[in-house]
Amino acid sequence: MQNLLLGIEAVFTWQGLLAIFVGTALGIVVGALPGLGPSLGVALLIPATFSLSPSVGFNLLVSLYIAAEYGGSISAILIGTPGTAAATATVVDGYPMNRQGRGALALQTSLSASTFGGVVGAIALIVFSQPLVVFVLQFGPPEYFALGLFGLTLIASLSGDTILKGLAAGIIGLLLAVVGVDPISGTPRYTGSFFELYEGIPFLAVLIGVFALAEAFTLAERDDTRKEARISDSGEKLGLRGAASMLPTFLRGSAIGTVIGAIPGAGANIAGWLAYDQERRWSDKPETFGKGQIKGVAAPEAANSASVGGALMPLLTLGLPGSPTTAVLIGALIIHGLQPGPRLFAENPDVVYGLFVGMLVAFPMLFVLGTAAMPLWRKVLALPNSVLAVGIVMLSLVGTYALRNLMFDVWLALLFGIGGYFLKKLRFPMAPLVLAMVLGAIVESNYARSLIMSQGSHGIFFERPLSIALILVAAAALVWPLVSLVMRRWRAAGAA
Amino acid sequence: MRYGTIGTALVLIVVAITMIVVAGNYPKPTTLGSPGPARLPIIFGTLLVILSGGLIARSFVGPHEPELTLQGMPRALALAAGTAICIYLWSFLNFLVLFIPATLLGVRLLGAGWTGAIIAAIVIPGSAYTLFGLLLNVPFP
Repeated sequence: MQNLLLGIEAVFTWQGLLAIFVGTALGIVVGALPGLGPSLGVALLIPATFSLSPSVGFNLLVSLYIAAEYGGSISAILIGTPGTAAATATVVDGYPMNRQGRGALALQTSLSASTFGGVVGAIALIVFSQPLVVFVLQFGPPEYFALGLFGLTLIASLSGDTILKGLAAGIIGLLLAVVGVDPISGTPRYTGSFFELYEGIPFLAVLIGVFALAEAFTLAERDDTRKEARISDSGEKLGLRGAASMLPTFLRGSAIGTVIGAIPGAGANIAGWLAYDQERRWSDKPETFGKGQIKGVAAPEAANSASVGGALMPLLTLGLPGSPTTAVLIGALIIHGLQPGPRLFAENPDVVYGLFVGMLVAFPMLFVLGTAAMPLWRKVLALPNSVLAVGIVMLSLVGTYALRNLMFDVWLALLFGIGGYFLKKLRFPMAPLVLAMVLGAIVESNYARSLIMSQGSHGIFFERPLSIALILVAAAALVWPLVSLVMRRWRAAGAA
Repeated sequence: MRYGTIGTALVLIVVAITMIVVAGNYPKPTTLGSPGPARLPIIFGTLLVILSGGLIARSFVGPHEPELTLQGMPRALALAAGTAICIYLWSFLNFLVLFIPATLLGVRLLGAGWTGAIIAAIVIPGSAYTLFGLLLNVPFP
């Protein structure tokens, strides 16, 4: 109860509420514009949180994340292109609804479903995170090493079809993480004559480089034409009765989204598709899906918003990202000097409970802002690529400089931006690189501590039940995508 | 894309081997049981060499990858070059003096009309300066 009051105090100040409002507004815009997405938005906004308290800053970032997952549905419905990966399933019925003259109804449905799903996900996060933290408090260095190892195996699931390239990106991230002074021996590693690298490669420079600058260079490739966005309106309104009739759809989507979001590496895209597929199976008229079925919009939107609460669960309790955006959020916590995991609950309850209360405020604020600003979305989608690309570059340079006031960091960000641009063109996924950079430090420090405890014996990792269990799960998580790929190819060859 | 992947893998192999060789010169650990500063960099470097070798092998014998599209790359590289020039000049010029004309030129060269470019040249640097320079008190170079 005391912690909840701390959270309420942290949120209900003018700075706290303004941060949620600004994060929500920016998030809708970032989500609506195809090619941007919540990872880029959060990475760019991190520098703006430096002078804010950790609680207010984190709420600003999470509000952007929440709103961006909804924002992706706007371009999905209006121009048939998902603004974020999470809104891919929404295109299937949302765009046909707009073409049938029911675009406004589709947007209202998407907003209502997102708000409902998001609140359900937030409640699940609040209810389940505390018991999970009590369990994790039993962990020592061997368990944290095994947990970090498990986190690294998620690289395979974040890599999609390009598993080898994803693993390579992950190893690059691990090598980037060892640059700097070794925390145990004090030996400078790979710093050359650059004293700026003694604290390691600044994580923000990597984040902004691979997510923001690389994306800006990709945007610059395309000609400056945007699709004409039109919101068709037949006058049909969702209303309270309409929303009530879709309660089972909202609930199914929210439950799927929360569970899938909590599985590290799964993500909102998978949650959206699974919810869509289940809704079609439960429907009396499955043949109407894909042709403007309103539940085909409601289900994936409830799921992708609920997945936010789910994805924050492993982040806050275990320090593991549930999605690429939460990998960026881990970086934000570390930059603010906070360690995600059970220590965060003990040492910074204002941040954790401020987040819980903040999410319960952000979703209704999303509903109000989304409804009021609906006529503006056409204009947002009309922003040309040239303006977006140059704007992202500008914010990236200034934001990176703001961290340590060093031009060295800005040059580093550009280097990672150019490298990230070419790696993305060659289909190397960047989320594994970022994830590995975050987890690399955790893995190395707990590995060293464990070996010092056991005087050099690796048996310590296999003498503790929790550590053994996590290592087995890690091995299974690493092997399963490869086994699944081989089985799929074998079945395809058999069918041919 | 095959040759791009192979080229990248070769670069990664060179980088990984360099990191392994450099790590070999780090001092041995003095604390009983400690792995020392070299162990994990050598392990990660070795893994990267193996994975890069795997990428090269897969490029020759694995399924064909989609072709790399080079369309638009000159525009992207031009933006990157312009960014590098701006970073270099930023140490010598005032933020607004540099970035207002740079934004105007960049947006215009990437295809926007004059009206859009002028609005962008005022709004984008102006917003960045207001947020970081004035509100967050970031001391620009």
